[in-house]
Amino acid sequence: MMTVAPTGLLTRSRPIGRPGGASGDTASENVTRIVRGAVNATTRLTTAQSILERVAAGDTAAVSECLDRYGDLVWSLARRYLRNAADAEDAVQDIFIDIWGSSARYDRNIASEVAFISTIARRRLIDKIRSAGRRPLMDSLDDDEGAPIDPGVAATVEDDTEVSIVERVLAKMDPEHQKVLSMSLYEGYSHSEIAGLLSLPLGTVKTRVRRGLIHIREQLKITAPTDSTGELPG
Amino acid sequence: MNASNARDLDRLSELLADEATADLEAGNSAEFRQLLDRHPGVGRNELMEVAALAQVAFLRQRRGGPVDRMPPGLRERLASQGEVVASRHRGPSPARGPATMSAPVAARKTPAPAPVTRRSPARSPFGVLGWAVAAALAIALVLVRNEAPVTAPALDATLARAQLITEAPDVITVPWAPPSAGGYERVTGDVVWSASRQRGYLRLANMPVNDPARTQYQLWIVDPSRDTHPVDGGVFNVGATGEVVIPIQAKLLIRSPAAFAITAEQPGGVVVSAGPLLVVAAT
Repeated sequence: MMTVAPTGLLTRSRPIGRPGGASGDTASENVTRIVRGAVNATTRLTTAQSILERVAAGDTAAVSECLDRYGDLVWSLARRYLRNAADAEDAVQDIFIDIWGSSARYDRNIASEVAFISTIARRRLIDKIRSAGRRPLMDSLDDDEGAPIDPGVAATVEDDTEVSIVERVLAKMDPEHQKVLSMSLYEGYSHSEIAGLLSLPLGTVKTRVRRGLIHIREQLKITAPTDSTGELPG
Repeated sequence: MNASNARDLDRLSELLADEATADLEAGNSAEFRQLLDRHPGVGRNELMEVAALAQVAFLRQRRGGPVDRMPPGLRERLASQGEVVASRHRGPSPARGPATMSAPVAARKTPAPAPVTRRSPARSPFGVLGWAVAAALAIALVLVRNEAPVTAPALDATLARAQLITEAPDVITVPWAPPSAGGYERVTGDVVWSASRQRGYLRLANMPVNDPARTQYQLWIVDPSRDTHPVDGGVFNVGATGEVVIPIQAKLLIRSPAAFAITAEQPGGVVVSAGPLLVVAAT
């Protein structure tokens, strides 16, 4: 049974490994080890710099990498909300302009890149739909003329740990909460529509949606991943 | 935590969940803003982020991941725009005037049409607006001069527009509602405006081209909180593509714009417009 957890900021600590020395080493060996460790740490931090951090630092090559890594995801999300391809192109353009402009605010200690990017995408797409007075129509795109499924495309999301955690949480979630979240987030039904389709009071649907989201949030906080170096994956 | 605070937080949690699932009703917006103002420590983005991750997780579960390939032409455009932004992050760029509309001064040079950066559908998704606002604007339109200079490519304006939307908490987006006849039926786009920044952007697509030697488009801003006369937003041209993104910099304070309207005038604009209103965006 899930409980409503108190609200709070979602943060994860990101300890940085410190170089150390074994007792009995000479001072020179200790200094060498410390310097080498510092160089290695710097290199590790440099190579682990995220794509968005590099965009914010002015690395134009990172722009192309960002599109390679997240372009199809954002496009797929846009196509779920917007059937018209031209509308979807406009929306994706707005989303990436927002991403490029917001890259300096990205903080890997607060969210993963996929969380940051998919959140911007979701906000923009919801705003676009609301301004046009429409709800997202997501239930028939499986039959559309989009490109065939390419196993390589999924790989850009495959290795994202936060998404994997959410997948596991959803898989273990009781069916009642999972169902309403799926109908809301994946199929795009309003709460009222869900209530009608499932013959539930609107208040019950809203409660299940809220509790479901809060439960996922709490599980993300509990299971914040770290790699063997003690650093969060970039 | 006292009972009132607990009730507030509970209600805020409900509204954040509504927002995250695209179910926040317009009638609850004011209450939502007030609760956010009263509780600045609450993570505004947390549930939206969770919803976004869950949507990606469902996409992966149900379809194996993002199965649609971004069109190559779109990718190229995004790459170009991204490189411009990244270059700016790297360091100061050469000073450049913003693309704005010119004031209607007879001797002013005609600005070049803005280059295209956006595709738009050849249709208007917006319903036809009633003409109540048009009737109000049909009263003599008195010019209040806007001296802002005109220049610069639309890419800068597109990026700056997106930045305003991202950064200004009070930004409003008002879509154009073209008339059912008159040659402007296919016009689409919107106006974004931030009262706190006193900045906004005009975006148009499928707008008929004007011959700057004979006619220029003129923007008018209706703000009932100021006075009964609309404020001149400047003149602009539309090139062969029919698309423009242009900054608006009204010289007078615009607190609560009720409507934006475009007329076609003589080159340089007019002090008093005889209309007609070509397209209107009403809040």
